[in-house]
Amino acid sequence: MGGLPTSTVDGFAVDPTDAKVMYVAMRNGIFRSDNGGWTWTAAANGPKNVAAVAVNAKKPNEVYAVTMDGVIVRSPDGGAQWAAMR
Amino acid sequence: MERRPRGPGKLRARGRRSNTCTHWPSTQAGLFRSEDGGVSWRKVALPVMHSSPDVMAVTPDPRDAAVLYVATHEAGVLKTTDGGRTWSEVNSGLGGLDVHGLAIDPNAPNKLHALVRDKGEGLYRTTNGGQRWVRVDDGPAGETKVLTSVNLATGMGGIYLYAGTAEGLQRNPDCF
Repeated sequence: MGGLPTSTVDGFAVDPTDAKVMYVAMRNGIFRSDNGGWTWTAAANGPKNVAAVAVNAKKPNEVYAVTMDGVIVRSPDGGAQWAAMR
Repeated sequence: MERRPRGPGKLRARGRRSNTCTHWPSTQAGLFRSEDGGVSWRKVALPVMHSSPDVMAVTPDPRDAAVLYVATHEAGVLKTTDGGRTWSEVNSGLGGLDVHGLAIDPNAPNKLHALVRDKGEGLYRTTNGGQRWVRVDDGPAGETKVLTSVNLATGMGGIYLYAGTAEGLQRNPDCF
């Protein structure tokens, strides 16, 4: 689990079309793995204090997350860019 | 980053149907449903003794959008087969009703794992959509926030269970 902090994991989601692609939500932010969890990369532009994350089953590059304050954010590109939903 | 719109409250878990735009976030105030991509939300009535059960996990069937399982802090596992109009408790065989994690096998959606805490603590498995649960293991140690079956072969005839815990992410084969 290289690159993933050993702190509380609050949310976890998997790309239904490629199970090696997965996302973790935690206070440190959102992390993505492309190899089943062996290595992880932080979403540099993502929110912090994240309570949950979900992948759109029909558009796996579309990822949703919600902060612990209840704000819903969306990424259109697999976690590279994030914006609050309008 | 802008901070709107707001969701339905403090969130524990979140599910999203496989072939609709329906979102099902769970909160300490119950289960909420959005049919407009998260712009507005309405509370879903769950048929349990508690008016607002603490919903710990929302687990949709990846092959049937009408089927959804909900794990609760007080009432075990609830199941709907009609998109949330009616619900039934599917707790036969569970040692307790405080369910902290619920995972559905993406290859065999009638196979689920439930993580029970406190009374009857342990990891339980059903292979018939919740009609009967059997305890299979102690489950991950410590506080578990999320439990997910991931379609990665173990090489031993099963797939992996991933658990998001207070100590980080853990994974184990689901074929104990």
